[in-house]
Amino acid sequence: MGTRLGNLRPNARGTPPLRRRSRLGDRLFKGLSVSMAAGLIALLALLLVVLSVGGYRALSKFGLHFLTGRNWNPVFGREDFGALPFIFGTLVTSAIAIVLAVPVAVGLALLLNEMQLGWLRNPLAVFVDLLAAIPSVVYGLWGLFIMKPVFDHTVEPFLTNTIGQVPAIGALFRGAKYCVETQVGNPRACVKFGYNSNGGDLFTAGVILAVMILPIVTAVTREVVAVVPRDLREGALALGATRYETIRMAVLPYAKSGIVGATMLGLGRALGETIAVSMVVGNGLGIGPSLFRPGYTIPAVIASEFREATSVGVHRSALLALALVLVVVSLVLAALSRMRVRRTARLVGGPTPAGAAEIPALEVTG
Amino acid sequence: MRSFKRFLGATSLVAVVVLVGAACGGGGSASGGFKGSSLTGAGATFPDPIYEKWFRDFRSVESGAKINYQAIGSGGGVQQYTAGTVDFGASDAPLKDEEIQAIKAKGKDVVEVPTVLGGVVIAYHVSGLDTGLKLDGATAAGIFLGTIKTWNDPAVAALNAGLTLPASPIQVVHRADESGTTKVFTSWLSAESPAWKSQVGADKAVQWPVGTGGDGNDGVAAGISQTEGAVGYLSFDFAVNSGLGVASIKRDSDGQFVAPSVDSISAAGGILEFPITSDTNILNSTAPGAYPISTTTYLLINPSPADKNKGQTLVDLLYWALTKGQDGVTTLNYSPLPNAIQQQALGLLDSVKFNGQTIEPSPAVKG
Repeated sequence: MGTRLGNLRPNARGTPPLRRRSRLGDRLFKGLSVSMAAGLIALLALLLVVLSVGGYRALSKFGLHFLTGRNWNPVFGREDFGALPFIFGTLVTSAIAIVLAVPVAVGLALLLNEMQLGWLRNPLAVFVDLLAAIPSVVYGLWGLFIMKPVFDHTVEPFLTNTIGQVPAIGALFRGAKYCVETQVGNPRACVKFGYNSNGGDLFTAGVILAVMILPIVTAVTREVVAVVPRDLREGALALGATRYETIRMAVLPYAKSGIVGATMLGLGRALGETIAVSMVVGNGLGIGPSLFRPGYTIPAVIASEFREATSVGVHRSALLALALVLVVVSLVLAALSRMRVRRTARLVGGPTPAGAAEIPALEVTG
Repeated sequence: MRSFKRFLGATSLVAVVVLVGAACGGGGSASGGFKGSSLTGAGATFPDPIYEKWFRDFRSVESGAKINYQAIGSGGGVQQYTAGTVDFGASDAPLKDEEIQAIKAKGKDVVEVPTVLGGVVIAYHVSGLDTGLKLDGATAAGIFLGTIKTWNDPAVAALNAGLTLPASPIQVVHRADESGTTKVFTSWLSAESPAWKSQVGADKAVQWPVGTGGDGNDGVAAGISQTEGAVGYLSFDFAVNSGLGVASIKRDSDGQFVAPSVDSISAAGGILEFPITSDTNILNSTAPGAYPISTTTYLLINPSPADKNKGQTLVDLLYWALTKGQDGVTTLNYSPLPNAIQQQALGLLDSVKFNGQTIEPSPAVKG
């Protein structure tokens, strides 16, 4: 920014000096924009300071245990706060969302850009964009009243009976074990087991998050795919590549860094989403391989417990420390995604696709 | 268009003048009886519906008594009362000793007046079992601890001879947010089960060993009604309209099972003792026919109000709420205080004084 403004100034090579008035205007503009930028940085710094000060009591009391502990006990007199279940839940639900949403989003973007859809193209594109405009609480209500019962009664039992029976990964798709039938005369000896499919769980939350981040990932991916130079496509086609090979060999490698950026944008939204997740995730502590058990996320626990966290003790401080953890997790992922975008851009070579590297890597909403 | 705007401006000006006039006029004791003054209060969410009704109806007694009540939760109510930002507070739990000390440290005092009773019910959703489930404290604690995992567990079956209990898993649903309802329920479980007391304890939010959490009574009710085999706890006034099955609870004192109802919860209030202390509660009430998981809620009032009119309005309001107002509570599924307790609660109002003189209720509310 500074250099560009500098270039407008008269320089030693004898460019005619601009009029005094506009130089003053330039300076004012520069000062204004610099102070705005500084304000933004100060805001982030202030946020971190406030969260650190607020969370200090909990962090100093529990130390590293705050990050590794598995208990979250606000009962006065036996307080014990460990954030691990929430960090786990946040990362797992976001990961499910990314795994489900990104392939669909990339497919949609390619469909809209690369295929000849005719009249269907515009309505479809508008429809995807409209999904992004739905407030998250509406997704939450839909998830709670419509999606959750279907998952509870149909989808999850089906997955348990199919993938759930596969040895290794099956553990992901089984809920808690319970006894269906005990041996006659001996209530302690179980002869038949069932698996508990628990409507509110990590998997349901991940699926609803996938729906929520789909529009943003699709929209950005679509933009990125659209700026892939015509020459590349035409070159591939001229060499006799089929449409699929063109996409695979010319379009996707070029758009890769942009797609990573789009994914990170979606991840940011997934990490910070509060209301919809809190309505379907089950809000229960617990860490384990099963995706069909109740979980809890950082934003959800903050939203649930902050309302009455006026209680004496460190509960309030622990919630602020949790917020700090969420901000730090987001910042770390943002930094990683920036590095990743740069690296892919360099590996692919050539100019960075317009806008791709400039995509704000992470934006936590909700 | 322009003249219409001017017209709007003029009317709103008139409206403002009239409103301001009304607000100023309300405070004084004009001829023809005391008209009351405006009050602000904040606190518990559990009694919010009945308080809103009382405060609305009370204006037909004292037209100037505009009462703004904000249901921000008991914790917030106590905090705002202590800070002096409201004229009265409201709390579901009696004040802790530290909280009273904090109020006294600010040079004030507080009187806790019980106003209305409520209960916490165990609601369930099991196919083929619409009504009739019976539970006792130990079994309920086992279910919420996760040691009793299926509906046909011998402990549940022993209490429910004659019912066909399925082998389906028990799905516990609890509150995810902090709540006075949770405090009452976990206090009862702690009183009933040493295991619960040592492993979980009692508070507005606890570390639940099993189950899923829902936000608010409606979140829990939604969780129960959607999930086969679910069990959870709800505030009685909410459970009545939820259409869910509700368990009868075994009384420790005589072994009888009592279903929650306006009457059985009201009966539980019979053991309330005055003065109110930090451990006052009506759980496991020994009064005849009492429902075991019952609770009361309190208004926090200042015994030496700075403003005489406000003090008078508050005394009138409470006198009215504890007498005529009690008739209306059942329409909202709250339970009235038993008569003897009403009288004792009214006695608390004698401690409200202005310049050393007790503020007597106005003739309008007494008549």
